[in-house]
Amino acid sequence: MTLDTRARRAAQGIHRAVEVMEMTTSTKEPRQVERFDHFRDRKQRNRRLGAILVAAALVITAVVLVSTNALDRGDGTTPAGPFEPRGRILYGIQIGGTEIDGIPIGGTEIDHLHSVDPDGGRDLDLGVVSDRGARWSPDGTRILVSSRAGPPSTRLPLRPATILPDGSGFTLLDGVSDPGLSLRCTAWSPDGSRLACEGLNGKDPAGLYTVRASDGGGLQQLSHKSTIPADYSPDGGQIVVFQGTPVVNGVDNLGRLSVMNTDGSGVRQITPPNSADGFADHTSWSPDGRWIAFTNSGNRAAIYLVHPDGTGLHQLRIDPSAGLVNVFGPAWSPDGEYLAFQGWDGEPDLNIDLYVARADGSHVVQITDAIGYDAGIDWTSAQT
Amino acid sequence: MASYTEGSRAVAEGSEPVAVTSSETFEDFYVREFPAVVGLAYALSGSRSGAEDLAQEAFLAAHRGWDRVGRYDQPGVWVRRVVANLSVSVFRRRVVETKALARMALGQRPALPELSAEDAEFWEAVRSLPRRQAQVIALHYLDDLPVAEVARVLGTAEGTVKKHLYEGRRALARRLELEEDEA
Repeated sequence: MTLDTRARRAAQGIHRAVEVMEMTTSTKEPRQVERFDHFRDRKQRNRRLGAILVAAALVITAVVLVSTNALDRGDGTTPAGPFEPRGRILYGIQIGGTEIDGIPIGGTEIDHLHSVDPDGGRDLDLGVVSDRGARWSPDGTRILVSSRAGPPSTRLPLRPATILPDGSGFTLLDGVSDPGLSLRCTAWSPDGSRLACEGLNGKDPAGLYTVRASDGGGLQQLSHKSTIPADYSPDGGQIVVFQGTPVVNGVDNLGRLSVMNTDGSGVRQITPPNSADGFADHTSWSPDGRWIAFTNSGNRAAIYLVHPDGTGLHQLRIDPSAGLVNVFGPAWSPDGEYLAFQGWDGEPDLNIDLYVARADGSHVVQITDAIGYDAGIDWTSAQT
Repeated sequence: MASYTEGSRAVAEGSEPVAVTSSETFEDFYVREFPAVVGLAYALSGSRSGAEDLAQEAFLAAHRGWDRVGRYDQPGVWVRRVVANLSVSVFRRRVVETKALARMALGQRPALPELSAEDAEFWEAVRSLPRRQAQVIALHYLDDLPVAEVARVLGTAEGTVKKHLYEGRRALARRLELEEDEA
């Protein structure tokens, strides 16, 4: 059978399915336009309901805060300091489906890299396109990107590379000779010496590796399982990784988080199955080492916190007055006082912007206001 | 190499459909186009429960901007572009799927029936292609659109569509172990 024949049959299959749907809905359910009216009414009702819930949450929050303050009086609790996040935030605007006739639509693929101050100032387009998972070096003098950020000759096999904070100085770290092994590196050890990378054989997962950050050589395999490295512990002794389940109907990319030693030993699962997103930039280890922030987008996207030993799992409550329906992709500030994250306000335009809040989820400030899907956050203390 | 931006960035993609005066009501437009648009959403999202919502989202956007969209010579091009992009957005599909599943939990069954195993395998292979290739293949075969029309729907150049069509067909033939037809 030829491709065209098969494709036209498959198209007929879709047409038949739609016909069946129309027959079903025309006899048992309201007519088409009425279904549209119901859909529109449902959306409007949900929006009104959302506003009521936000108002209710605000009232409850106020009551809790008053109660908490009353309880805290006399126990030495100090009020939060001034809101002054410092450093520089790296993020990417994702290519693809960004705007249709003035209506922005989210994309999901490759990032146009930008950096921005944590108050939203000095937004710098680095002029570089790379895979998701770009990372600051620990000293903030370089940025880890993929070889796709370079000229066409460097794009396959995938290798780590670095650029300078202004986007110039592309340097390929091609220290691995195996052309059949691609490396997607998404975590930088705190001492700056190693990069943790997901191995790919074509599109198939090929385990977890580390390489030297200086030249991309010194390949070490930590795991043979499909594993995406998300972040090193602040002391450099451990890595938090994502181990996933196959994508279901092309919809979800959920799995579990595990922590392992940097030699691949001592693997222990710290979150339940299907609890975490399979993007390296959706998980971040706190600078004090006590918490790992991660995202679960399987239901209503939210940020969760868990201790590295798997205890204390809970959802981070983001101040509801910010009006965000979904929050995801957290990144700790270098001092651990703040979190940067992606937020969606619930509009069907899928305009995803970046926000910074105190680490307890209060005092939410929007720092980007771009048309598109802002993602892949990493935060350095350097004032680059 | 770098450039600073002030304020919001406009990341425009695609050309604007030509605006002409049309007396068609939104209701007429909806009844005429909905089946094709929900089919496109089903093929590209693979979600029985979410495809109708994706199509409804696209029509809701058209309804909001009907003063403008309704004046295009082919508002169907616009709504197809919206649903083609919504359907390949992993995040969007996830949101829609979650809502649809929640409704299913309340006892409302998806209206779309399951595809045959053979057809399901074909569209799954299409969805595994890069996003643009999947959109081009779906529009080309589902609506039987020529390259120029696919380019118009996606707001891209005909040469780009030809490239995606060629690469997508090659990848599909390889994956499904089918013979490629002569171009």
